[in-house]
Amino acid sequence: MNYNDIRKLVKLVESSHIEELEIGEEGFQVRVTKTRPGNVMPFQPPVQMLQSPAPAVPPVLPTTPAPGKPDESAPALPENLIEVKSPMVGTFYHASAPDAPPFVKEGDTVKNGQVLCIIEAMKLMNEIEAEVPGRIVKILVENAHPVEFGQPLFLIEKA
Amino acid sequence: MNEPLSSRRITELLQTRRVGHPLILLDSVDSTNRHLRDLARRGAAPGTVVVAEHQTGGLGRRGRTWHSPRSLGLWFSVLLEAEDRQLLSLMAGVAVVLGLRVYPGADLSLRWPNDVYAGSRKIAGILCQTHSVHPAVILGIGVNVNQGPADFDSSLLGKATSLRILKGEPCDRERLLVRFFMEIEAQYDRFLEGDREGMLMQYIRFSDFMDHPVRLRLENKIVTGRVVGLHAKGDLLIESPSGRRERYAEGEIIEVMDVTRG
Repeated sequence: MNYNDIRKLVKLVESSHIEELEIGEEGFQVRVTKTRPGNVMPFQPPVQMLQSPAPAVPPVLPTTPAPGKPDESAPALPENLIEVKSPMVGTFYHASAPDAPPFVKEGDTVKNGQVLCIIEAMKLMNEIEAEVPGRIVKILVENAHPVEFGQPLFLIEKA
Repeated sequence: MNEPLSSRRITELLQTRRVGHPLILLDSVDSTNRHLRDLARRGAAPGTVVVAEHQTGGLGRRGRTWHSPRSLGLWFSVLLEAEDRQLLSLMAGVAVVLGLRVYPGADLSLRWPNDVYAGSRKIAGILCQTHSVHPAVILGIGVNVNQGPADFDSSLLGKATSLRILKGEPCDRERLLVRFFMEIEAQYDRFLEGDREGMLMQYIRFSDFMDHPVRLRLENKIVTGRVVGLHAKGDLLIESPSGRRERYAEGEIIEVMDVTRG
């Protein structure tokens, strides 16, 4: 994205009903916000450039304080346990429909390729499959709750 | 009238390089999405399209079904590959609106994320699917083409419409199908070149909900608020009556209300 693209974005927002538009690429994000007369808002530059991608949803406080280097302090999983992580930001569904039985329950054994859950973003249904055979030790997310990129969804004990 | 699609005629009309190559035309299938998913697992290439005259279990969002009567609509699925997969879901909506615009006069609009409306009635629906272990994305598209009022399920009365109802005469399904392929390919090419902004701007232009109060159906509740923007990833930005702003990546707008504030 270059200067001209950013000017086009600002014009688009100015000439429309859109109040806020964010366009992001790897390591680069632009947000254009329109302040309306009579609507008192704290000062915000019309175009804001960040060197790193902004968090995808309003930041949530970590449940445990992250000391120094979180990667090193995170407890390593036993070798026979693997985490199934979310490949995208979206909503976690444990079943194919609100009234359908869940794909898997804790304690179930699963085959390689078996569907474990669906993550939805904008009517894109991403079926998350088991990549190893094993047993579901723990389901880490509640049905219909939002999940982040890379968030662990299941703990599987490898067969 | 209500003739089955001719694969020969479609091939003659086809001008795309990728979308529709190969083209698999089925008489009846449970769901074109499911069929194409199985083909993708067995190595089908991006561009592969599955079209069916009739779907016995056309998929809607969250377990709902898509009513797909024989030879009256276009029920098809397109296999693509891309990063930023969820934006393909919005892109498919833009392509369908552009394809339907060959019939002028329909008051077409997009309702987040990708329902296509003609006035206050739905004319096309899109459900995209992908899998954690495959890079492919399947765009499942259903377009009501030649249904008359009596061809709709009673549950859809007053909610759905077709091109034939809008135009007053039947439409050429083969020509329309090929038109959709062209629009999907053009959007996909731009997408692969990295032009997300152009697609989003077009999406916004076709949308009917920006700055309007809406009702958004989520899994367990309905959220009401005013749409104040769209995120670059396609998420909806909604301001609640109390002034709180939230981003939504799931659900669907089920009602767009008139702006009566001020």
